[in-house]
Parts: sequence; C-alpha cells; structure tokens
Amino acid sequence: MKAIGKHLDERGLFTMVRWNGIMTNPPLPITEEQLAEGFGIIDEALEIADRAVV
Amino acid sequence: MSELTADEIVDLCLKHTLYDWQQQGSTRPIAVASARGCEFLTVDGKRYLDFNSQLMGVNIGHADPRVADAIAEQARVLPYISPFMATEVRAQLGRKLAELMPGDLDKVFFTLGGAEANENAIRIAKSMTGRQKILARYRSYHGATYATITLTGDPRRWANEPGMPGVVHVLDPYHGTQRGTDDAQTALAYLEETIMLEGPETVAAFILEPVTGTNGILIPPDGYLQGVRELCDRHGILLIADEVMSGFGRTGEWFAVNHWGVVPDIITMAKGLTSSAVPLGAVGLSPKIYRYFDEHVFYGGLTYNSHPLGLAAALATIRVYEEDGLIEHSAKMGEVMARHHQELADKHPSVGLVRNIGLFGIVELVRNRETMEPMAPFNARATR
Repeated sequence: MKAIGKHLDERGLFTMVRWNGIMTNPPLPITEEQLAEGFGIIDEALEIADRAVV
Repeated sequence: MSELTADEIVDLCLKHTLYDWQQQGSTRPIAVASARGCEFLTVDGKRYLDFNSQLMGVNIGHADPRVADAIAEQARVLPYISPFMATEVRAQLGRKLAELMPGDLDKVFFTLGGAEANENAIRIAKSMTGRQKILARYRSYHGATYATITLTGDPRRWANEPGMPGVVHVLDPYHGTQRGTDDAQTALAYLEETIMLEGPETVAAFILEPVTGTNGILIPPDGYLQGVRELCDRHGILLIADEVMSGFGRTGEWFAVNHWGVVPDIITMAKGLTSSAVPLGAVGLSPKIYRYFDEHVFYGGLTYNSHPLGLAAALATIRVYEEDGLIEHSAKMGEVMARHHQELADKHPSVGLVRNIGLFGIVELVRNRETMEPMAPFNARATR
C-alpha cells in the first residue's frame, strides 16, 4: 500500500490511502475529464498492487 | 511568491507545530502554495489533482472567489460579535439551513467544527432525555475531543481511553472484505439485542454516520437506517446523524439520510458547510428536542458560536451549491465514478471491492479474490 501511495504522490494525485483502501472523494465540481485523469493514475498504481496478489 | 523555500517551510512547520495522528519524526508534509477548483499547487510548482477534497471537506472546490468575497466583506463590516447578539448573517443562515435540513429540523447551534458539533449533540441528548449512555459504532470517527474520541470507534480511540463514561459501541453491518456486509435484518437484530442488554431506558442516543467516511465509505444496506429510526422511536432513544462528512452533496443529496427518507432527531455538520474555507460546524435540532430548551437552560456555549466569518462563508458556500447545481452534479459524476470503479475491478485482480454513493467512494484492495484477504491488515499504518 505504501508503494501505491508513493506512485499516486509522484504522479500528482492527492488522496487518502488507508489500510487496504484508496479513497476517491474529489470536490463536487469535478469534471468527467478530471475523473478520467485521476482514475488513470489509480489504474497505473494498481499494476503495483496486482504484483502482490497471491 | 513565497519568502521561504519549500524545504524551509516544511522544516519550520515540523520544528514549531504538531501534526495530526502520527509520529512527528516520520512525516514530511507537502509545502502547498495555492489551490483552485479541484487542484492545488506546491511551493515548487507541482500540480496535484485533489481526489480526497483534503479531508473530504472542500466540497465546492478550492478557493471559490464568491466565498472569498463574502468572507472579506464580512471581515470589513463585522468580523466578530458576541454570540449573545443577533446578526443578519445569523438570521439568514439559520433560515437557509432550516430549509435544507431533513424533515422538521429547523433550529441550529453553531460550533467551530464537527467534533464540537458532536460534543454538543450528545450534551443535548443527555440533558433532554436524562439518560447517560450513548451508543456509537466501531467503524466510525466522530472527532478527537475527549468526548468525541470516546464516541469514535476506530483505533484512534485506543490511546485516549478510558475517555468519557457511558459510551457503548456496537458492530456495523459491514465486517471487512472477508465477512462482507450483513443484511439490514441481521444488523438490526444485533442492534436490538444490544439495546435490550444495555437497558433501553439508560440509552440517551445512538450516534452514527449514515454513510461512514474515513472508516471505509460504508453504505448501509437498504432498510438499515429506517430500522434504526424505528428502534430508536420504540425505546425513546434519540437518533443523531453525524453528517459532517456525508452532508452537503458528498453523496449526491444535501444530506445522506435523504437517500433513505430517514429524519434524525439531531444532525451534525461541518466540512462541506463552508467547504472548509472557515472552520464552522452546526448541530441541527428537531422541534421535539429544542422545545425542551424553551423551558430548560441550555448548558452549553462557545465564544465563537455563530462567528460571523464562518456564517458568511457558509451562506456564500450554500449559494455556490445552488447556483452551480453541485448536488445534482455530484449524483451525476457519481455514476461516472461507479463506471471507473467497475473498470478497475474488471482489469485488476488486486481490486476486491468498490463502493460509491455520489462522489463518496473507495477502492478496497485484496491479496486474493478467493480468500478476500485485505492487501493491508486492519489498522495497518496509513500513508498520506
């Protein structure tokens, strides 16, 4: 989870990574484009998580 | 331009100020220069997309000029006056909140934030019922004052115990990735048994987050909140909805209880009330509650009750929600979020569960989809 947090931080996505969860709580004026951008970065970070799957 | 470099800012902040919930030696905060909309900029010029609204509280986006103007105007005219006075901004905001709050709730007590709101909510409940016990849930966060950290169920409570006497914690419908969520009937049967064993006539109130925030965006099964309302009514227990995080459009409704048509006796709010621009909280009361205080003294007070700067910020913030249609937009973008969540779940074997209601969402990771073992254990050290 630490590596995931680090990846999000490096790519400029601020969120809370707590225990086994990644929070997705943007401000309400968020646009579809911004959501796509944020989830794109989470998508990349989950490649790291997939490697820990047993 | 900053007078100090990013490193100087961080070093001075660490040297002279305390940071929340961590060993001071192991944190390195981001030096932030400015923020706008859904983004903020560091002192070094790096851009961040804010996917948590800071602490789930910057609901209308950062640095809205309409709110800044309202705060500035109030600061010029009347930045502070004693809470024993009447002011136009207090009159206007009180009336507006009476219109927005669920059901018949139409009176508020203003505080400086969510913890103080919850603190006063339980004071009111105990005072009015003459009962001493408060029910709260384990997977919850209600604040960090001495009383509210006792209400809090999550591990941040442990180091602060024993805390306030009379708080009884109950389990939530949700039990983690491995055991999943009870149906409403099972969860309510357990709650009813706890009430019976504690003695219904000793319980003043049940405080809960209608949709739990920090403890995992826990959306109750259909029927749960309605059943809680019914149980509380049957036993003369007041229902306190902590909507500090879930209120003001976070879930695609003004308040999360609206999704289930449930009207609490007391509702607490903060965060989205001013979009966090100025510290402000409020305790909303139904006539059943506040009529008691027509004849009895309200033994509570704050120097900053109804602080004009906070009230001006709240009034302007509520106007932004309305002008920009942000509650409806949250519901609409929530559908887009749900599609993104589903795509992630379809693609990544590490995704165990996804949940969202409006723009209140979480992706829960697991080591294995068969066993649903979480990627990190309960209470594993959090990162930023």
